[in-house]
Amino acid sequence: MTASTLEHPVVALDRWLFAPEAAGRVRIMRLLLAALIGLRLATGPHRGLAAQPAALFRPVWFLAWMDHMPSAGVLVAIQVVGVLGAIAAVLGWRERGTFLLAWSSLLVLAALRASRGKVHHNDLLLLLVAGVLAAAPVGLRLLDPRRSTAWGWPVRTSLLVVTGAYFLTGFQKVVSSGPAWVLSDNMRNLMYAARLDGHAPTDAVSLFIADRPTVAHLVALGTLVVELGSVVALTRPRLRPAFVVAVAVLHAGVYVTHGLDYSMWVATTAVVLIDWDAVLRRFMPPPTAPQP
Amino acid sequence: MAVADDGPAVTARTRRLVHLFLLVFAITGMAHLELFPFSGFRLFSELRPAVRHSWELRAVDEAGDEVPIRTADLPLGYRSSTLLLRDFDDMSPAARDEVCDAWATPLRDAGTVVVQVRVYSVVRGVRPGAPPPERHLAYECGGPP
Repeated sequence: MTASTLEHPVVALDRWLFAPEAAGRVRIMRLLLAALIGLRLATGPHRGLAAQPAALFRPVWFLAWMDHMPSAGVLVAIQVVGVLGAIAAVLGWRERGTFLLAWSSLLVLAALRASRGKVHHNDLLLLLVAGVLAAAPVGLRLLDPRRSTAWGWPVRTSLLVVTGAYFLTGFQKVVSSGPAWVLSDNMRNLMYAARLDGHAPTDAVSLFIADRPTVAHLVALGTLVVELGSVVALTRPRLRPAFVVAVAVLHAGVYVTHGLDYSMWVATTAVVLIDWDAVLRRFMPPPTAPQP
Repeated sequence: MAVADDGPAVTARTRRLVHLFLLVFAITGMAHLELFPFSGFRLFSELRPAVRHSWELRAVDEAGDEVPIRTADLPLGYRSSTLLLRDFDDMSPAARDEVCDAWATPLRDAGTVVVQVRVYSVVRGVRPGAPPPERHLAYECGGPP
């Protein structure tokens, strides 16, 4: 294969990534992500990490310089600072710095939560997308219709991250388990095992699925179709609202059967995949164009 | 009417950073690597068999009686910590003792005299009507405070 044939898809991806988008879409995405970060910081259980003895602390790579969990006072201080930063970012006050402050606070607290020997995915999608928006241009207004590549890359990189995360989640199932992930008793065992953990709000749903092999196979197939189908949501913008509904159903199912809270994945997906700028524009008149 | 491009130019540095970000995202995602907050996205990806291997922690008090330690009922910092047992064989006895003493901390704080922690390996069927769990002692560790 020659260098030119290898180059072509990369160039095409680059052209797609750096295509123009509306400035207003970047502003509303950052506003909504800041609100989600603030909500997560305000309601997260991070304070409970403080009781952990040092012998159980297994820091993630960028916290390797720490030898134990911070005290409850430090954890609460990070939460408070992050929430204040998120509120300021929502209001558009010193947007770059305040959004970075909120994002950094959640990054550190989520990293501390992951420093227990197990990766917790609950906040990852929000952190990755907010990381992209933290680097995006600031000083934009809601409903600003001007279009530029400078405002295109944050939107499109976020689209790639969200749909890529779902695709990779499905991809890992296929790579690790192959067709057996759907065709074997895998889903039935998963559902029967869920009741042993005792985290789910009810056992009725997991047992309903586990007791019916056909339903279990269909649930497994549906899960893979949604995850791998994220590619379609990337390439067909009209199908994105349907994909948001599909992932909401998927994660609601995970919560009901396993008690695992992936609400931030659903919310982040909705923020990125739905063009809220266009939605707002339908109901509100655009502001006066800024003077040059 | 919007025009084709009326914003600032995208710098070469921004382009390189976006490319690097997406490259790390793709490599960690495809290669099962965890580089927080980048992830290998292993969510329920392994096949679940009809039997499940787990661990049970029990503190031994002065009278020799066993008291269960349920990490799921302890503060957030303790939860999921039995995953450290995956590396127990590679740990020194002193390091194991530190971890086991850490698990005993809430009981000790509540006034129980813990002289040792026993770690049981448990194999149980997940299906209804499965035989009772099989439990065998895997480790004894920790010591009097």
